[in-house]
Amino acid sequence: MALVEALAAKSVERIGTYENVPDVVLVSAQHDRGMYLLHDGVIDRVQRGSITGLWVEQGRLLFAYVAHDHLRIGRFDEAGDTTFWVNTEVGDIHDIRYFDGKLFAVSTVTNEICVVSETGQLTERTRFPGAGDAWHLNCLDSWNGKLVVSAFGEFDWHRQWKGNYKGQGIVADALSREVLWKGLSQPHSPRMLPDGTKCICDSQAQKLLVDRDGEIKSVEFPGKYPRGLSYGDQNLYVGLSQSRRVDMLKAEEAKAGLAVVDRQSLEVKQFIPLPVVEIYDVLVLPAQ
Amino acid sequence: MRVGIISASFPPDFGWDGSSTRAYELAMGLKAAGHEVEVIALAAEIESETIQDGMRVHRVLVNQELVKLNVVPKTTPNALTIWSSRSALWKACLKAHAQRPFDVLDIPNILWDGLLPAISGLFPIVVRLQPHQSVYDKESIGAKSAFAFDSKLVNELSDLSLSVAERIYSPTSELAASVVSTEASKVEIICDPLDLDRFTVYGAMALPKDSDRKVIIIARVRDKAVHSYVGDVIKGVAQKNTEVPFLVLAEDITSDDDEHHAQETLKGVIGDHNPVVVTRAYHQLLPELLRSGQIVLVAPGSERVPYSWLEPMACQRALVASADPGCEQYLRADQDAVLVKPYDVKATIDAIVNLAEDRPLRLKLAIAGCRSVHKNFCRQHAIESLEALYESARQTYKSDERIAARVMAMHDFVERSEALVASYDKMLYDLLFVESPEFRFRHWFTKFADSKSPAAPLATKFKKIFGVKHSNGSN
Repeated sequence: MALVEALAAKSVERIGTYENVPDVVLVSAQHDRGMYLLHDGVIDRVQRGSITGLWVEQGRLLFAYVAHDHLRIGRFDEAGDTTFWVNTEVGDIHDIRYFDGKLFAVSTVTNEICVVSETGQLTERTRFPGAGDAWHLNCLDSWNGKLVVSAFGEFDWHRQWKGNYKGQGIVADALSREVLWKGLSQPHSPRMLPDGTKCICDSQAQKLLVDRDGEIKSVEFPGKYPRGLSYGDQNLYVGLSQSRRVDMLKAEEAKAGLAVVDRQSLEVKQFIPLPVVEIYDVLVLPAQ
Repeated sequence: MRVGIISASFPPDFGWDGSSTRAYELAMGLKAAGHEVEVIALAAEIESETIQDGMRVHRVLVNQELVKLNVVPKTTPNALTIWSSRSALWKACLKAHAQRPFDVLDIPNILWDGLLPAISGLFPIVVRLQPHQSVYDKESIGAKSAFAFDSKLVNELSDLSLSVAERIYSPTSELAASVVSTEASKVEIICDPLDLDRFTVYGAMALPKDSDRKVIIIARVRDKAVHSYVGDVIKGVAQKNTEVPFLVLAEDITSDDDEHHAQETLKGVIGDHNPVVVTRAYHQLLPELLRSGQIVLVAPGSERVPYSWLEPMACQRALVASADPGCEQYLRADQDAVLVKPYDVKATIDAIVNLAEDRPLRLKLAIAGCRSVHKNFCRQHAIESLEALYESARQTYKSDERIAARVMAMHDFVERSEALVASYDKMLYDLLFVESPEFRFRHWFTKFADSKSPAAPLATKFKKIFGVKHSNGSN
């Protein structure tokens, strides 16, 4: 728990309390809201900035900043120190994760997945077909040993998905580009649970889809934009954002938050509000 | 060579304006040539020592304690801004040098950036003359002071940086002549570097080639005057030729929401009759975006000049540019680009329609512009020239002649600083006069007592009673 303690020690403000959540959960948010740590019944805001992807590797937290013109990844260690890597060849980083011993980052604006070294340099670049932000690649996961990525669709041109995203979204193998799940609308946060259950936030359709051996069930979140998904032994944790185009100045009144969903019954147990407009990622921190 | 670069603004913090882009191109060019580059720059939000693109970048925050002072920001706002921002840079520079000494320090943007390191004499300093102020400085040093002392102090500090620097370089001989007229011949002319491997006519396009007359407009769309100008130009061109599509590359928007807002407001001005796409000027995508059109208009007040001119030319696109100050040093009118008066909507429309309808003219202009950029702004060539300049700076800076020259420069500064003290005294006097009724009373009482009025001797007698001890400064 050293990482949790180090994060809690960095609390910028305490914004509330919660009950009946057995896991320690970290939530990243955009529009300069930073990160929120749910631990020991209290919610601490532990970082400022607009943050997207979260990952923990060897007791250190990695987090990516939203910036259309560069990659910026912070690495927070148990001593409470943060190191930054910056690269200007890629940008609009939507997600990061370690896979096969390497740090992968999704550069949405250049339509690619890259491997970032500890000197901030790109050691591998996997470009997808199309120019600019064509596919709107966003979130990564590992499914049966394969790195997968969610995307708004297989488009050809920069931001061609705008207005054309309904039912075009996919989850694809990042290497072979084999489509593993299709018919989605602005999908985010693909997750495979230890029992093989596949989950995806079908964000624009306002649903969480859960695929158990081919049987797909959905959890609906009317009026919300589900994005950011993690899991503990009992629960799924789903980030629920306000719909887009909310006045950012009203962030304090926003009704975004975290839905706690029972892993077995898929019943929504509770909603924990957070003072943010858009949540990007949710991560259950390891117990040790 | 181990090269240090001090630049208050360095991308990505504070964006990609012309000055920042130049510092970036310089650093990347030196790194590509095999040098060890370390950059010292201001941080927009997070103070950190960052590994960026394989280079160490020290990001420091402005000293807010100085900015919060009570009187100094009112009297000498420009000098204060420089000191509060640059003192942090200098400390970081000296620390980095103490850890591993620099062979040479380059000051590619504002002369003050290198003031203290230049005075320290710890390493050879190379400074570049700068025609444009960075956006960071424009926004933070824009304050006007009522006191001449502020500008005098800033000018003296700039001159001092220049006079103790080992070598000076300039992008153009005209600029060199205007800044250091007496020693312009000693200034090395080195062009602004541009990565011509990235900005090339060959390569992918970000948008479909739905027309061979697409116009790209590079503009700061949040500026009301520019927004109105862009809207009028699009409307005017559409009236004359309905087959011209537009792509607006907005330099001053950085989020989806701003992009959406800009698209909607522009639609509000011009209606739906013409397809206009607004997108951010993504740094990584610029070549692909520029290649998506055939004609590029750079609107007045582009923050990325000279790069917003040079990049489309390197991609062999026909350029129409607002004749902003200094453009003649980069563009030859009617050879490399069509220059129009800033905000002259009619001239801009005519230029665009003319190019859209005359393919040979469009190609001729685009090819000539591309050749000119390759000849004059090649990054590799600029870096080779800089390497020679650095080497000569390293060789001469410990020579007796240069040590004597630096002593003379400091001597001159000390002499000039005596005049500064007089200016400082006047500023304090004026400030007290404005702020203190008691001081004003004493001022006028002393004036009266010192006058030739018949009642003056009486007033002199009462001086002690009123506690008048100050002179009015004329004695």
